[in-house]
Amino acid sequence: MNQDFNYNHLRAKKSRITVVMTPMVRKMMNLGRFLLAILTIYLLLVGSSLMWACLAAISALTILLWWWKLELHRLAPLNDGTVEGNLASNILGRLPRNPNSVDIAEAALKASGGMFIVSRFGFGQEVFKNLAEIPQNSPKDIWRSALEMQRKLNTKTISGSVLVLAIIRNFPAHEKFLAHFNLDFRDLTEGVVWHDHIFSLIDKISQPKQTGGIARDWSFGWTPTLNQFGRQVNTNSIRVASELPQYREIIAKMIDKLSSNGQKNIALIGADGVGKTTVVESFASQIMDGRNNIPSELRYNQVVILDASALISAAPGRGELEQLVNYIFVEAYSAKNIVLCLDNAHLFFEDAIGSADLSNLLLPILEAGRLKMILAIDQQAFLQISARNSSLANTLNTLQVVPANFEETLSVMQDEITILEQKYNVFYFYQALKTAYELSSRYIFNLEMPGRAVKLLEMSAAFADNGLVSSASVEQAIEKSMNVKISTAHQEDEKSKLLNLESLIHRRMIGQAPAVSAVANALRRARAGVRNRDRPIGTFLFLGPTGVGKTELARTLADVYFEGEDNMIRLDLNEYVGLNDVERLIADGADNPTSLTAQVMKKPFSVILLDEIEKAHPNVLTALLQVLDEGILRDTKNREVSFRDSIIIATSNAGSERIRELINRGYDIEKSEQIIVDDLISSNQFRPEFLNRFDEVTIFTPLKKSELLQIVDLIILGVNKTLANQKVVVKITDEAKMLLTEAGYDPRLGARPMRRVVQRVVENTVARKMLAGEVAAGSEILITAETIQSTIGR
Amino acid sequence: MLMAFISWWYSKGWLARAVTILDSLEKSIDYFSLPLLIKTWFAPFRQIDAGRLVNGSIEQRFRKLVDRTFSRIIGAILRTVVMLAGVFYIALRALLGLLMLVFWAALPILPIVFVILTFSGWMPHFNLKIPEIKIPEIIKMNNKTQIPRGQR
Repeated sequence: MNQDFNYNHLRAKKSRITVVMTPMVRKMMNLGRFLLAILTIYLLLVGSSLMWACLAAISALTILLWWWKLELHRLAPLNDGTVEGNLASNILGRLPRNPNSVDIAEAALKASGGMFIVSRFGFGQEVFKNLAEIPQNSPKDIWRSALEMQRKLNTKTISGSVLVLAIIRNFPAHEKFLAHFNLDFRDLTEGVVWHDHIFSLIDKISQPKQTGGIARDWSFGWTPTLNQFGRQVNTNSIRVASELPQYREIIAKMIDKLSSNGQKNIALIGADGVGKTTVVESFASQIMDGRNNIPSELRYNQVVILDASALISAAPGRGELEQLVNYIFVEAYSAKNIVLCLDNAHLFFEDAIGSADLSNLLLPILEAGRLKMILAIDQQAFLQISARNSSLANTLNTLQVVPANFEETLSVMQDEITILEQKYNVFYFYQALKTAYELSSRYIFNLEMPGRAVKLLEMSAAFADNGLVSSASVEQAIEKSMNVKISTAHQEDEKSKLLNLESLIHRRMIGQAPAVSAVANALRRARAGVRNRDRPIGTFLFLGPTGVGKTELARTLADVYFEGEDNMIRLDLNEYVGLNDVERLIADGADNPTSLTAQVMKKPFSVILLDEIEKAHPNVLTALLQVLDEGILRDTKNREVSFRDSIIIATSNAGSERIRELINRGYDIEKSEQIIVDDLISSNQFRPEFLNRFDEVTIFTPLKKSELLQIVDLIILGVNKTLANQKVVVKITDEAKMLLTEAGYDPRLGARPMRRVVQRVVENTVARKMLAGEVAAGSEILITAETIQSTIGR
Repeated sequence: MLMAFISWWYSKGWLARAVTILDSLEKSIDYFSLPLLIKTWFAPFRQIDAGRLVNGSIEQRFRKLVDRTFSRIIGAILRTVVMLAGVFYIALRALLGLLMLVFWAALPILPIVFVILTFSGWMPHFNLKIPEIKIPEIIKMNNKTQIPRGQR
């Protein structure tokens, strides 16, 4: 491998000529030929021998232009292991006699591949040039790396993109450098493949297609009615679908079945978004290209997608519709070159608004198998139709279209963004594609890959920053549409809230500091980007007697951080005690909007409160195991619902007696968690694997009198909030507070007795005074010890 | 460099030029749909009356046969015209292509030849003979033309 650069190499000389012959120069040469030709004619007429000089010039220009067209502009590599033999000509021709690393970097940036990598990955030209200047990037090192990279990536030449990779790779801390841009080196190699793919598409488009010519359709029939109610599939776009291995296989099977002697029908079965329509378009493109090896029966056939809504609106009556459809089928069959496509085919098999059940008409046609038909249908819809009509399922040749994997989705997105960039006048960074894949798989449920990723990319265009769509734009798109928080906290007020979360919670809730701290820490980890993203934000089991604040903490957290108690999803598990209640838990939202999965799909970023969890049926607890561990649950439609942006709080009164006993015996409850957990397991109240899945099991202690005193203040604050409209303020003396505390204190029942006493004493007193007219707007009501004694005494 | 250029021009370059000529011929054959037209020369035009009559009377069947034959004749005529036009066009292109290949061989020498001709001063001469047009005898009187009495 020769890593020296030879300026006088033949290929280098040719490249320099290529670089000089820019499009403008070639245009001028052509213009020159034209003008010289006119001059020649004139000189011929006047009899001047200068005419020969003009012809000499025209010949010379012609030689140059033809040489450029047939050799220079695509100088083939020599594959001899030398720099000059392998470097792309548009870079080779720009290098000076003794290029330094900056010269090489600048030449790489002038090539489309180099510019592509630097701009798509967000590096910027200056950053890249600085990298080229480091000592490890001497010209020899760059050439060595570039030749290695070319071999590894198996590219035809050392293009600009390969050169950029070589320069970056020579930087010792390149992984750290790339991590700063949320990338790794594999992403850059993917960029090289992407750039080469774009050029291969351009090559493919520029090659003339064999479409059959001007008389292609003379042997086929006219289809005026079909044209009115159908749309011919566009065969001019080169879709990537034909390049994906999965789709190539499907299209090959379609060609085989539709040109066979058997039943000429295909049912493409797959969820929305997997690319069924794209497969049909690729199929249409392939059979229209005479260069492909297509059986003569199918070659140059036209694929027409029938519009169900146009048909139904044109023929609303049942008899009329069947007649019209029958007429269209006859027309299509007689034409002999039509492949009929029923997109969303279930619309033709069920009676509903916008659809009509034409099974009686369609089934015999499908069974006869002479009219070429493609049905594109959702998996669930196909199962439902087959259940009603089993002969239909047997008649169709089904082909499953499965959701694309990461590499396939990336390929599709890379092609789609060229259209999106034109449509929305934006530019997508590569990182946006990766983020779109990741976030769409978590948050978009009504489509499968690659459709869901492409949809998210399209939504992200609205959040472009100065026309640039980055990962942040994609995150914003999800945050705004799904009302979740994905990006790390960067606004000052949010950061302040997170850092002071405990004190904010304690404004509304008294005591239970360990539990408050555990929950606040989980949120801080999540919003700082420190936590494991494949699990819920935090999973907590709160144990303790009734009325001590387990539910109140969940409500307070929802109010303080999740923007209101409306963003709390509450499930009382004493309603899930039956064997069949698991189905209610994971029901589809259309059937049961209050199911857990339906609510989480709507509000992924929320507090989930599972109250009285010990009362749930064991099957329900088993279903919840996966939620606690991996943060996902499949609903009845087999969709994966993500709980990875929720805090899950389960509450239970189990072990309350044991807690009270331990307190009475003088145990420090915070250190006795293990004893309580062991008791719960040994008494079979909870399985060990269930308890083990919680991040924290926190014991809530019975409230002390001092804490109840503070609760009185909170309750009075709540009463004053209620009376704020009427401009009445309730005040309570310290002695009265002590009396209330004594009256409401019950360590078995927590704060609820206190609440009932306050209601009886304070609220009833206020109500009586207001109704008796003893209190005017702007006045104060003072609750004294006497008031309390007189009320409690009654 | 000059040797490399000449070597390329008379080997790979010539071949590349021949390939582009063949590509354009292929494109022309496809444009005029020659293979399809040959295959379907006598097929009913646009499938008019191509369908079979089921359970028809003899009269209906005969009428169908006549209509279909007529459709075939129309189709055959149209197809023949297009094929002939296509063959003529392709033959012309092929001839031009052949001339181009010959011209390719001569082209590198032409600039030198033209420069020599420039200095030699030689110019081609073209004898443009305008043929005499015979006109009927006209009676000229005082430079005026007059139509003879008998021909008024």
